[in-house]
Amino acid sequence: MALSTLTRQVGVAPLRPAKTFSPTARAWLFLSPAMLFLGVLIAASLLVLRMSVGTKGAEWSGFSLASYAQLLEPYYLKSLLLTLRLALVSALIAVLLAIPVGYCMSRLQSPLLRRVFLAAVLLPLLVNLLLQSYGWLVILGPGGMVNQALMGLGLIDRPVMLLYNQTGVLMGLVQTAFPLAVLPIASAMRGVSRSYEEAAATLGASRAQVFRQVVLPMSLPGIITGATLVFAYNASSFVVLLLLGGRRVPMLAVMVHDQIAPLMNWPAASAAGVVLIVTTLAIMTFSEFVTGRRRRILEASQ
Amino acid sequence: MSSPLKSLLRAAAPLPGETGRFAMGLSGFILLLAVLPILSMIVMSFSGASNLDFPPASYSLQWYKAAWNTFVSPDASDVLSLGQALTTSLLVATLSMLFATLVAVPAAYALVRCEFRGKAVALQLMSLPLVFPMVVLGLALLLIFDNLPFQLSTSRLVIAHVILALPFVVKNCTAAMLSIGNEVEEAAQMLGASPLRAIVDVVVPLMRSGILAGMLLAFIISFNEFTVTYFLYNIDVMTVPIWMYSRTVSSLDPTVFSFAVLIVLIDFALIWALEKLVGDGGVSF
Amino acid sequence: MSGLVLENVEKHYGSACAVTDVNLHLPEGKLVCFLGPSGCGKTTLLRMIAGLETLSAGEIRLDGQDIGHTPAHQRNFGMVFQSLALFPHMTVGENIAYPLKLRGVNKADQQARVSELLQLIQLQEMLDRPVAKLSGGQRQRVAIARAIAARPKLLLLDEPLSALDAKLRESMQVEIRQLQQRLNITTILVTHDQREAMTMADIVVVLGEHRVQQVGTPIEIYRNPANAFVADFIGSGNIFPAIALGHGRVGLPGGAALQVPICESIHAGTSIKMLVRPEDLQLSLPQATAGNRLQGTVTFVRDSGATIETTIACSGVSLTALSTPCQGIGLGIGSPVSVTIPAEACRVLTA
Repeated sequence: MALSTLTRQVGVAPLRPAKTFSPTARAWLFLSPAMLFLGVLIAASLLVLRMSVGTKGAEWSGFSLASYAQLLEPYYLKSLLLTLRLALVSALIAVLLAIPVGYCMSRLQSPLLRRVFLAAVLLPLLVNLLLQSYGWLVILGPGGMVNQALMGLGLIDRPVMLLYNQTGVLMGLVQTAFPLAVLPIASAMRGVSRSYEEAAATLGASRAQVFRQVVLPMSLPGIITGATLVFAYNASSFVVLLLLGGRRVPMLAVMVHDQIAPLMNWPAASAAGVVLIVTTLAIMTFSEFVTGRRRRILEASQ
Repeated sequence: MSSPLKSLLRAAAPLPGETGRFAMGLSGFILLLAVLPILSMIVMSFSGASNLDFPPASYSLQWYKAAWNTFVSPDASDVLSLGQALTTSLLVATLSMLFATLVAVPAAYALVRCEFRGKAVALQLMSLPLVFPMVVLGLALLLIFDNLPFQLSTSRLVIAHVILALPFVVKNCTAAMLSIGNEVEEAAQMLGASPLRAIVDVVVPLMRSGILAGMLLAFIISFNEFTVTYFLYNIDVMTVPIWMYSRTVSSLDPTVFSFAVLIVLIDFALIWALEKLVGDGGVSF
Repeated sequence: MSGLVLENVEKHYGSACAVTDVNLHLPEGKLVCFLGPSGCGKTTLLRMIAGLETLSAGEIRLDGQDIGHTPAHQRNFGMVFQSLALFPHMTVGENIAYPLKLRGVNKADQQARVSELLQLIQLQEMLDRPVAKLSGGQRQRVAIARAIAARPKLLLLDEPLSALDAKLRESMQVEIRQLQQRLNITTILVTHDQREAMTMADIVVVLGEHRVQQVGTPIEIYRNPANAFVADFIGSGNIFPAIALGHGRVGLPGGAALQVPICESIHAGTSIKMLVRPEDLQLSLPQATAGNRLQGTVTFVRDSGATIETTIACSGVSLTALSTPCQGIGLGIGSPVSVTIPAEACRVLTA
């Protein structure tokens, strides 16, 4: 067999002059379709910003800070504080609950259990909040699960009001945002190699000590990320308030909607919206700063 | 303590790095609480009573029958039938899924493979919808769409849903692309494929499970979206969640629970399918 | 000039230098090996030849034609990657046919060529096998077949054997070398394994510290290393400091003197480095010091069965001698010993 023919040239692609495309231009070309959609988002937020300094009736031409001044009135200020407080408390509770769940998810061996756990985490995140609120009505209603149980135990004589107040809203906030805390925590804990735990155990640490002194500190960036996500998500929560708060818990998101729907006060709604955006971005930046520093320390030591 | 019992206990003690029984039990309980609203809603849909007392006094399929009747012969009082809402929902979810994927794949390519100026900004922008207050997004989009010189109906929902789903789809495509590595792509180029051809012939087929996971997520997100849609819907374009809300805004009618169970089942099937891809390492959040 | 010519080739990333000042001429039909420690820039150099990295400066010419800025897919070079980079979503046959498909070769010719290549690598029956179902050695061969399917002008191998276990690697080295000679295809092999380079290469290019240290045949490089870097990197050697005393004599730190080949360019009093290969040292029971025979004490013995490595402290330097078990004289740690260093085995390196 004439193997020497194997190296003979055939069918070489014709030489064309190389197109010189700067890598930056090429990358942004690839990004442009996605940026088109994100551009809508950005344009929309700029529009909200513009409108927040408009005046009612002359949203596009007027300029006044009246809408912001209005936000300083006691009623609105109280609403802002309520928003921050409920978001903060719900973030703390959600993270506390998410830590054991995240740890188990990161260490599960059985594939079936892993799938069941993940499904249980994803369902509250992905299933329409409206449907979950129906469930809360069943649980918290006057004849619902909790009241029946409490009365059955003889702790109360007549149903306590759990719906349409802060208690119900807080529970709803924690439950619907819970997955946002679990996912980053689980992935951070997955990053803590088992050998660290084994090393700590051989050095004489008990299981509780291993968890508290090794696993927790090393997954702190994930925990902070989780808390931030829950906070940001709940600060602008709307559906839970709509359904479990019955509009009696006036968080900012509800006010944004109420300013439009019955009042048609676009500048006021926009100003409240801007406050929401600023709050969210501020907390995200802060968390980025904290976790970034923490992560750098962890990476430097490895 | 007898020695066999002792050795049994010792054998059951978890090794470092394994989950102990206490942690497992606690997590199981917390997760049960997390899905409790969904579970209790499912139980309630089989109620034979007409109030929301739990547990229900009796069980029956009456609400499913009522729901079926609503579906096949819509009330004249309903502004829109469930059938129409379902059609809209499916259409919007499908379109959102397709558009989100089409724009996310090239974006993920740029974010993983290219070093370029403004990359940090691009990365931040990609995750912006994840933390952007939904109420404000709804408000802002409403502002934009109402001030356009032309009318958008279904497409305005699609645009909103694509924005919301984008971070999830990009994340999944990015993870898939990272797991491929760039040697196969370079190999294709060395064999004579132009850079674009190499992407089409090699990169995209290998990203398949990641792309599929992203598509499923986009579909689920769009199908379940409520907040932004609540700002943008109108009488002609109504998705299933909005339709349900409009029915229950005055009084809670347990037929809604039967519809809700149906939707939860669809969601669960989609999530289970999504997790099948997790097994292949195709999904990430 | 035919063959591949690199002229003043340079690559830096920002301020970090990957390779600099590379001038090479690789003749046609030869197997050239880029050998060097990790991070020396050998892979970067190969990737620039492949067109997967841009040149920061310099020129690459193939048969007189400047190809430095031709995109990779238009160069018609074959390349085998470290990870092999076989396409997991294609079968063996589809992988090999892929470059032919890209060049618009018709189906029948594709099939003929694929079966010709499968016969060459002796995997005829694997045509429709998915790549994942192959063993390491089979994948290796498929990767090579795919790389040469379109009859490339140049075959580039980027540490292709590093994933294989030691035994398979040795047999693949011979196989690739034989294939390359049969096809007479100009080939560049990147490796950090000097044994692999010695087995396979016509020409070895030793790279280190971001530049070319020496170019030569494997034996030249082993016997006459150009500098301390090459001497240290190739083979195991005793490298120790010394002072030139003139008339072909050098002084060791401990005061003893050795006779070495006369080196015209080095003046008396200059600090130099000496290289002696362990297999050239001769050990004997203590005898009087004479000529190049020195007294020492054994500090460590490593008996690996086939060979015995004896480390000796001798006139302020530590020397390692390699001997076979039958030459062994039963030395233990602390034994006094005589070491003979033949003058012709000594290499003087400029420090």
